[in-house]
Amino acid sequence: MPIVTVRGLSRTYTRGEHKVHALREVDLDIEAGEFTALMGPSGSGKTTLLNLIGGLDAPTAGSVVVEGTDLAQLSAGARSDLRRERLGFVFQAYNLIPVLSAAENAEFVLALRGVPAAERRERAHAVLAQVGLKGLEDRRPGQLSGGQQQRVAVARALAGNPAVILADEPTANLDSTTGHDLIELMRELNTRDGATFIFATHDPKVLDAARRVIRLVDGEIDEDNRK
Amino acid sequence: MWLFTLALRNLFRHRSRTLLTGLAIAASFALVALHMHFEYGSWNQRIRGSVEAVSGHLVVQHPDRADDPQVEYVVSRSAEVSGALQRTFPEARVLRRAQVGGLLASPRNTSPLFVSGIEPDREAQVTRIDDLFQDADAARAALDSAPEPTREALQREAERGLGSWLEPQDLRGIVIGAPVARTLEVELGDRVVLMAQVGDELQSIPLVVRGIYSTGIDRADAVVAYTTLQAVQPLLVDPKTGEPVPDPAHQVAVHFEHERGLDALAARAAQAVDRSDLSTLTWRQAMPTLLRQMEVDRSFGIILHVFIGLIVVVVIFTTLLMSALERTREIGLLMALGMRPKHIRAMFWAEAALLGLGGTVAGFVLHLPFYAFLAYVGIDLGDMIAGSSDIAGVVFDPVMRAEFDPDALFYYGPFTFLLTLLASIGPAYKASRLTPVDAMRHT
Repeated sequence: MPIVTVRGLSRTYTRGEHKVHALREVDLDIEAGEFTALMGPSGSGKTTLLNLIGGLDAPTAGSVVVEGTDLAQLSAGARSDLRRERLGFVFQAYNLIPVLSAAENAEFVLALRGVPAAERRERAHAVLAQVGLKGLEDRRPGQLSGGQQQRVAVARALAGNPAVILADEPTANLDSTTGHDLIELMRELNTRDGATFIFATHDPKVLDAARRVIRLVDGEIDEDNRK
Repeated sequence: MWLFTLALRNLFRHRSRTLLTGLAIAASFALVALHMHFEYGSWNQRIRGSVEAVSGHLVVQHPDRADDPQVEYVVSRSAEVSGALQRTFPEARVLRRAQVGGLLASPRNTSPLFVSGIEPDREAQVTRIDDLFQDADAARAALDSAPEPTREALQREAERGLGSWLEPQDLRGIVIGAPVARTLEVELGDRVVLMAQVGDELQSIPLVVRGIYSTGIDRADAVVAYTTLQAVQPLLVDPKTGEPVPDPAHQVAVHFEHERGLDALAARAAQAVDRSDLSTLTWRQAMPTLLRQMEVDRSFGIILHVFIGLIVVVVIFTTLLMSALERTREIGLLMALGMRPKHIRAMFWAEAALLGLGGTVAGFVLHLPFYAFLAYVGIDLGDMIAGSSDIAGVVFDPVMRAEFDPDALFYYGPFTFLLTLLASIGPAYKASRLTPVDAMRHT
């Protein structure tokens, strides 16, 4: 059974008098443990699809089912719960909480889940070490480089052992070496821990690493290739 | 706990703004607390003065006198009543008084005033007019040998009491204020006549000036004079028959060291007096006008406090709203990570609670030195309050001092705290209604 099932998914935005069809009746299944890249030109619907799978946005039509739960049936609060318990996010622009240290950012989702402080701190230190940030746990985002911040974001996404990690252009703001390292890291986590990754990306290095590449054009799936 | 950590860090993100907002809360709390302490102190001062000079903690008097202090509303056989009360409350100070309004006349002029007929030795135990004479005597004694810098102060002190306080058996003595002496152009030992309406007749009592005092409040000193109770008793007659009333007074007052359990004490006093023609009242019952004034003052005070509170609400609302707008993208992130709308609201409320708590505590600390000044030094209102510094001839200290009003801490403290929470409701709801995707797109 797929971990994510998308059926007839459409999202239309209204810009003044114009309607923009960001997604048009997309059907998609993502299996557990997949390392999937969504590619396509700007405005093709990659980020919209990720946002809908993550329950950050509501579809105009169609459905998204994550681990058997239809997101359309959930209230805003229940969608928050699902994101907290089952999903991990890595956003393009790092998106760390600026007033928290690297460790506190990494353990934030666990704090939301009510995990005891000692346990979540231990887990945060472990995932930070896993992404190569041992010794930088107490630094605030402003004291970290772009690559280090993105690694903290990955650590935060991993800390809660989510079923699916959604990453929107995770390497877009990184230099090529740092971007490469990050992809390697996520690939390793996918291979070793079986974490399911779905990327939206333009980055050829990410596309090379992906075992499945879905090409979106004008809000529709144009190609879906498995390696 | 992590919510409070996050809230605290958010507050420290803009230190100067947080500091200014906290200061606004602190200043408002300090202002209101000082106002409450000062009001509390000045009212206590007036109450103590009134209890000393007007009613006592308990007063036995004619049932109608509290509402209408007519001269004919008397206590007959007042010494019996006084004796019964003194036996019931051996530790208390029991004294009799009569107040007569009339004209005091000298060969050169007249002056309308209240004459208080008192028991001088007992009165001296509860009021302070006699102290003026003792202090003046002491000042005069010290004047000759005093060094130059202190002579002026001693001279002023010496002028506050010329002559002497009344002797208990003095049937013809009167002590008058300095303004009355100037009006009548009289000096110590001069003769004056007290004229008062008794029934349909004008009665006169010849008196001799024994003392001239000055409390420092001329308007009050101009309307009050003291003589012995026995001297004014001939003016207290039965209004229907015009016949003398046996041993009359207007009141028998009982003064305790404290005013705990006054209602029970009043019941005991009534039982001891056992007279159906008299009522026994606590000072609150005996001085309803004073209480009404106090309540009106308090009501105005509350309105003022609410206005100051509203200013606090606006300041905090603006700060938190600005904070919500600045952090829109971050709030989107928090929601994307799984914070429920209620968590977002709780985060804003935690920020407001910390701000309110910090501001209130800072305000409490800030107000202490000002409170100390107002409590120990006070404000000399002098002639400014002279018009209201006497009630039925009671003279109050013109230096008003603050006293610690526990309500400032236990009522306005939590009130300020609640106001900050109230002010945060709007921004908190605004932030919690954002959708994650829209909020994260915000720039």
